[in-house]
Amino acid sequence: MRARASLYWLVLLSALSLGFSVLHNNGALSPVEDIILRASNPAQRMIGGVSSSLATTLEDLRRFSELRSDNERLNATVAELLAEIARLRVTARENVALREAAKYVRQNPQLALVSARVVGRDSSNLLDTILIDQGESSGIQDGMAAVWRGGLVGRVVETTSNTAKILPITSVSSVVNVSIQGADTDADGLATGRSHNHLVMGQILEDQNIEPGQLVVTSGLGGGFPKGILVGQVVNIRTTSTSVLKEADVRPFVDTNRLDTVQIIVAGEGG
Amino acid sequence: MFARGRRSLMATRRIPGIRTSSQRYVVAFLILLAALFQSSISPGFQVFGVIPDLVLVLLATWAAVARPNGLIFWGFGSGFLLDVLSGVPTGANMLALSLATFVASMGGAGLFRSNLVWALLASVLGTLVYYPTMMLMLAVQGYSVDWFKAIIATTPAAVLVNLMTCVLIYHPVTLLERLTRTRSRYTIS
Repeated sequence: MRARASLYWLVLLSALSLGFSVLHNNGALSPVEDIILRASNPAQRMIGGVSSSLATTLEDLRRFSELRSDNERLNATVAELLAEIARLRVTARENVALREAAKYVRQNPQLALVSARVVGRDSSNLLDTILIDQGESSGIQDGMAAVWRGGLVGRVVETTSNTAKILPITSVSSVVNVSIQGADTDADGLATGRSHNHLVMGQILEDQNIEPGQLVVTSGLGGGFPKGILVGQVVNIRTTSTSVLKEADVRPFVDTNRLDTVQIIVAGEGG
Repeated sequence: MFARGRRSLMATRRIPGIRTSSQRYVVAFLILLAALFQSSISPGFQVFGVIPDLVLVLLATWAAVARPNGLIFWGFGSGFLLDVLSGVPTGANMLALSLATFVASMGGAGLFRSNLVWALLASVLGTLVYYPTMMLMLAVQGYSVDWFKAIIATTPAAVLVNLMTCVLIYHPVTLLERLTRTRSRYTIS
């Protein structure tokens, strides 16, 4: 009898959950969600801040114990590093490009930015969405680009009056129009998210001359993001015998797992 | 007189899910705290690539320790809280936690009631129900789910991490349940 009652309640609550899901998609729950988020924001900020500091401290302590072995390993690699002076020259050139990217915002005064703090993250271990403490009241809308120090973080996918959700570029749900900055011409393609903070750029034409180390930026195609935001760096290129297209593994410029703050481009070209 | 006397002879009325009103508040506070931690904790605390499902483990452990009747309602409510706090589409955690708590509290009068073994089993069963349900709900809502990774890597890792979390919180939860437990009172008129 009790089992039957429990089953009855389970069916009813399941139906209610689906009903809530529909209401959420219609935006009917936004006021309630907004009130709860406003009330929980201070606590979430505090827990996020404390846990972030604690995680950093623990990481530092862990690294401290590795210092001795690191020192020995570093001594052994000095010789190799000397041999890589030539490569460092290339790195220095890339460094200049990275600095340029970091100054992207300053060099683009037409972009209006809203700074926001990360107050929550997806708790299901299945999505990577990030919750920030600014929303429609700050001018943030769906589809806007989120950046951090000139590097692309992701896209705003949902807003309430005081909060917004960002889908990071490394999420498997994310697709971004990008181009690899070549010496002469740029190679366009699509960057899709993969697990472990990793991107794969596909749809690159076979005749495009690309190589590891080149920078990947937003192409501005499709109007989703402003052109020229730094996305990452090519680390590996794959060509298959059956396809006329190439794929490139891209290391994102921004580690979305370690973000405390982001900036939303609320106005400007494409924003 | 007869009615009053009869009522006083009856055991204190139980609140669905929780045995006493003080336990109700304690559990509500614990769920709120767990939901806040689960939604705000730094990814630096990931173990095997996953964050412990604190709310799920707490409810599963409570199912084993307190033998509540209507834990499913607490799963439903805490699912809503978790959905809102963590940015997951509303309804996903609600359904997943309702189902998980239903399964976790199915021990009934089984062999493992009110001991660590059942708490661990409830956590495992709850996790195994929770993740597929979440995946399904997210897919229905239009999100891309990496099914292969979720089934091969995330869910097994979550089972392991939730088991460890259950071991860690079992004794504190047991102690808390004993401290807040009120014996049924009988009066003779």
